[in-house]
Amino acid sequence: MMFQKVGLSSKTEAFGLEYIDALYGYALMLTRNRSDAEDLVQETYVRALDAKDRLREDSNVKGWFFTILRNLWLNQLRKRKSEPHLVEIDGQEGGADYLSGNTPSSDEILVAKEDVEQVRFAIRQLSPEFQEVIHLREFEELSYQQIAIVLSCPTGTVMSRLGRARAKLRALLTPTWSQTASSGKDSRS
Amino acid sequence: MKSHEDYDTMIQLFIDEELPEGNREEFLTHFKDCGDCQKTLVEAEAFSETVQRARPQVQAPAALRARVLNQMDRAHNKAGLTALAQIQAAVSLYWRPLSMAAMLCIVAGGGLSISHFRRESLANDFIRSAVANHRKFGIDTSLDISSSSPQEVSSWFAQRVSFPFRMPNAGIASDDHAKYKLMGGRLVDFGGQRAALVVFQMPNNRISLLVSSDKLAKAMGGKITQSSGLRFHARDMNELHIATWDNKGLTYALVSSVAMGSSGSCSTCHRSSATGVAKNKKPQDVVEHVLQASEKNPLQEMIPNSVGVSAGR
Repeated sequence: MMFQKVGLSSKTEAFGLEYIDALYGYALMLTRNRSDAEDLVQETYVRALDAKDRLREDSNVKGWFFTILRNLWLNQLRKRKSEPHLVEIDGQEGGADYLSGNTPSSDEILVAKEDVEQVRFAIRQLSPEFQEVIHLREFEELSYQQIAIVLSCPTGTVMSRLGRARAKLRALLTPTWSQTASSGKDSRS
Repeated sequence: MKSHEDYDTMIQLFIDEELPEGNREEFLTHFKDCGDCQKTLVEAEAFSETVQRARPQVQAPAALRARVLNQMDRAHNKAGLTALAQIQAAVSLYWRPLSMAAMLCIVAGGGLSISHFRRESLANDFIRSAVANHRKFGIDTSLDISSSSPQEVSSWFAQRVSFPFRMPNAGIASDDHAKYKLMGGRLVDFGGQRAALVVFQMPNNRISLLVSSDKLAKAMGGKITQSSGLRFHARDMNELHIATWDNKGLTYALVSSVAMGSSGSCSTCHRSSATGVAKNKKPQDVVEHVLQASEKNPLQEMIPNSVGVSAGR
């Protein structure tokens, strides 16, 4: 047991491993396929290890990994000469991270879960490019500049695309959103 | 004169922490008196939060993680072995001990390189967290503890964080010569653990200080200045100025829009630095402080005799 612990501890120090969950989530969003997503993430680390000496000191490591992953995905798409095929994937939830002392009631959990599902469903209704920009900004919290690097486009394009994606998402969620906003206000008052 | 629509556009940039500092001040001035903008901001923030809550809790499969780790090990070993083969071919039998030493250096170097990237990544995360919390305080000014007493604030944090919280200086903000005033602090999250955000107010500026255990992140990079045995790392990010340093098991990140090193004087934060220093420090420290001032220490305007130089003492 002792050896296992030592091994695990030293391995978690490995370069960029802290982003593996985020990269896998992004890969799932792009590929819509678990097996393809796993291959894509693995290949991303292969490329990153080869290229890490070229990583500039002031680079954003997370954004750099995302850029590699996306470029690999685009290369695969070019090879396949086909458009991304969107299929449903079942959710993979790892349990809610509730803060101690702030545990919601069962009813609240149920309502929150419904909201979450509705938002996810609405996001899946967006075009792939809107889904992608929402994923990078809202889920991965990359800055506009980092997103621009990942998507290989100007920062202005990121801003406008994000604005349109949010507007579309808001429109899709309007009935849910008004209820959520009003219940949020009620609970705050 | 900006139209209301211009401010409307700024709201999302403000929430995304993408509004340039110059526009930010202008926006906040308008925002204070505009009920429509206040309402829009609350709604836009709530919308963003709703979307963010829908982030799928995706975890990479254990098998994938294991494959990636094996890959790293292989790459690591391959780098070491390739270099070893080259060295062995190049040197004679007599030099074998030397080649073994070189191999060990290469293998150790590879390990250090990975470890360096990891530390650098954590240091950058800490700075990003300090900046994000500094900006967030512009929207939500609530504090978990409101007090101008350093002792009270220290004691409050000490009971709530898992590391031995210390203010940078026991006399901080109680110095009559300081132009800033301790406002209090609040608990924030960093690296999945509680960290302390201490907030100071100046007449036209706000200073925040993120404090965490140095086990989670250490100060790295930036422009390095040494003072009183501490190494300060200074950098600018979107017109914000950040200074980070480690001291006695803690890591500090000071964020402010106060310019660092522009005028070479301590007057930004202190009314009379020389007197202030003399009052609180040993003679040798006073000499060092004056010498640093003459060398235009890039940090002296932000951390002259209170916040940084005497950190943790």
